[in-house]
Amino acid sequence: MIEFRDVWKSFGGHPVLQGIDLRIEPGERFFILGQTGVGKTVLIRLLVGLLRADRGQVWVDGEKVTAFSEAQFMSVRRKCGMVFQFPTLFDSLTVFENLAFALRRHTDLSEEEIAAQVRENLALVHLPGDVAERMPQELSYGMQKRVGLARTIALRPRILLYDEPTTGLDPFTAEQINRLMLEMAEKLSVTSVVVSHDLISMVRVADRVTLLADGRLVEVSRPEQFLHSANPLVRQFVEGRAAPEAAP
Amino acid sequence: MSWVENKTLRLIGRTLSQILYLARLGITVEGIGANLFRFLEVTGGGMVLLIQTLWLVPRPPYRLREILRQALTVGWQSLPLIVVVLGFLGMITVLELNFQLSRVIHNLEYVPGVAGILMFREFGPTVVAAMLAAKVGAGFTAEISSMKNTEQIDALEMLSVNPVHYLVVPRFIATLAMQVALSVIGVAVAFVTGFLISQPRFNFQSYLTTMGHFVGVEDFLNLIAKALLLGAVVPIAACYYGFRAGAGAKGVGEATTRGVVTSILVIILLDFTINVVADKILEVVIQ
Amino acid sequence: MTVLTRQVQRIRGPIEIGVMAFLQEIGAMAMFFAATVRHIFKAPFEVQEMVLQMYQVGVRSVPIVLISGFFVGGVVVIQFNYALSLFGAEVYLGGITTSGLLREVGPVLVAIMIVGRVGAYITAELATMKVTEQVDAIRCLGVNPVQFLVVPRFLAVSAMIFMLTILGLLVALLGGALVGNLILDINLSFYFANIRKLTAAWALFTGMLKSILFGILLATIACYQGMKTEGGAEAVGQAVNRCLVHCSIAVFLADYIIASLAALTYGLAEEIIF
Repeated sequence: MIEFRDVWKSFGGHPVLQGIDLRIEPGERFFILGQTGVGKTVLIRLLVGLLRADRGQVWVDGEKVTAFSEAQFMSVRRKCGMVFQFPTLFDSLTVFENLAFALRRHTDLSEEEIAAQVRENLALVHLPGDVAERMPQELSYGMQKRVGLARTIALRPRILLYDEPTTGLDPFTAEQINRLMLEMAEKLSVTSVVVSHDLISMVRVADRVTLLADGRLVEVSRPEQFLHSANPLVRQFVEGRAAPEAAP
Repeated sequence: MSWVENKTLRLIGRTLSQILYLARLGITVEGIGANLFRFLEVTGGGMVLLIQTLWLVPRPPYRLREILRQALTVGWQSLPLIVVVLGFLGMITVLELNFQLSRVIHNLEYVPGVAGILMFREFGPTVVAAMLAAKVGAGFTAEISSMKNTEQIDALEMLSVNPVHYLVVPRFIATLAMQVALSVIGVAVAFVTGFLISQPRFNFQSYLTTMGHFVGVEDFLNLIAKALLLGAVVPIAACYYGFRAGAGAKGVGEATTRGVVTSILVIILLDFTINVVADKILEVVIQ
Repeated sequence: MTVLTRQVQRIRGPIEIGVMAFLQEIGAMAMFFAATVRHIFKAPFEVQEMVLQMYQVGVRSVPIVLISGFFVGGVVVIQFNYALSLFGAEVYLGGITTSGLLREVGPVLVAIMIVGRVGAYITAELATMKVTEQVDAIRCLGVNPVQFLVVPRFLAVSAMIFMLTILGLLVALLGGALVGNLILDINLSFYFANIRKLTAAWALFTGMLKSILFGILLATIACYQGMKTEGGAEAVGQAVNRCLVHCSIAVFLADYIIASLAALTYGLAEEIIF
């Protein structure tokens, strides 16, 4: 479904990804863990062409997207929905218009059908229908995040990319998001790729998990194996210890 | 309305209803009331900040190094802009006067004089002030509003440092000084470019003499006085909106926009007032 | 002499870098402009967004243009009155003020006011959308941000600046007449007597031409600066700042070019018209 083959990426001479090899199977809920600033987000941005790799190949759904033009990426982006870390709702549009945004531009649905779709999508993220007429900034942060998810699933993507979905949320809201990720995977049968540093969320949601450290993927395993892995980098991350040279 | 099947028609309908909806917003009673209230709030707030600043200017600690640093930033950063803009303005003025005076007094001999009068009395100080509002004012607002957003202003207050004294006073003094300096430089540049474009009708000597016939010491003092008065507008408006900025990128952007618009508007209004008052004083003096 | 050479050597580096950066900026802006124009003719056309922008940019700038236009007219009449009184040529005040406002002062000062209001607004809005990843979100929904964000703003700003300038000019003419009458005690029939004689349709045309050009320049610069913003909240402020500076320079540069072209051609044009 998704494949990285020896992908390299650096920013201003500073290497971030140094030879990533990864295969994600259809229908999987895959977690990419890592400390803040190691380039996890870069990895999923490569998939939808928001960033381009310096070297290596990225495959999505049997297509090599690495050399795609911006116009060709449009079709890839309809297949891959991206849930941003911040809600990124269009603040000049109402919630309804935010949710109808992609439908109006990519489908031939009538206004009634669009309204029905919007209601359905709101119901999928457990929001009442009357939210639709409000402006995004009138909603709580957790609700905004859920509207953001509803907007992403409007075109029924087959892959959902989550960028730090639970970061900065209180445990209650984080659990709501975890439950939504599980429901999306089940109801819409999507492949989920989650970039996070939240171990609780990982245990709740993940099928498989990997750790990104020093520009490489350290280990790919099941969550319970990951938590008990003997790999020193994984142990450091799981136990929250500082790197050996920085330890007192 | 299910009978409207055509997508384009429906789009036009939606657009029209939206225009009507938007247009309605501007003319409600509450809308006007809110605008008036905001106007009073801003005017009052700006005046308070101005008085606070003037009150704090003569009070220690005098942070000379900070004032000099700000003056250097303000002056040095705006110099290229002022030189370019006033350079073009000098040429435009001469071109326009060539056209106008040739029709009215059928004589191009006095163009340098009239150009000098207009530059010294009007366009020099106002255009320099407007350019400073764009270059320096927007910078101040962006700087202070992002300090506010990262809670640095609160941190200053926790250290019992008055943020107005710490942030506004040095910027105020520096901008005032630089406004005067840049106005003089700007008018000088406009003079040079104006001379260059009136080639070969005048040589430098005759250009200068003609200008000297018209432009006197009082015009130079007019320039300095206007520069001082208009120069106070930019830092106060910019800092005021910086302190009031809302959260995040949106807040910073809106504060910067408002700061610049208010500065330029107040500059035009103040300039008009000065002209009217000066005109009345002149009349009294003549009588 | 060697000291001088060394000084020249020392400042040559930065100047070369500056010139290169300047040329690169101009090139990038031209490409941005070309991309925008290309996308104007591509379906779908975002009517709703354009209407919204025309309201935000046009309708909401009206009060400011009215106020500034009126007082600019007042300022010009006061200064021209002073200048003309030196030659005892006050008879021509109405004509010169009207012609000067239409040809030169009106378009430029109204443009500077609009630069502050509209340019800053557009840049701030686009830059905010850029740094809060809203632009990335648009791309991820399979919509081209140039088409959705830039084209409607570009068209709305270009059209609205033209109309706002006309409005500003009308108010400025009114301001000139009223201030002349109320403050300078000039008889209005005296003021209007010469307008017809000294103001050609050509003056109006020059003013209009300028406002169209200013509109296109300002729309391009404002959208370009907004869309290339990177970073956080502070970057938004800096983008607005850069937009204002570049717009001001562009306005005066364009005004100079048109003024000198007009200076070359006005004799010819007046012959044709009269």
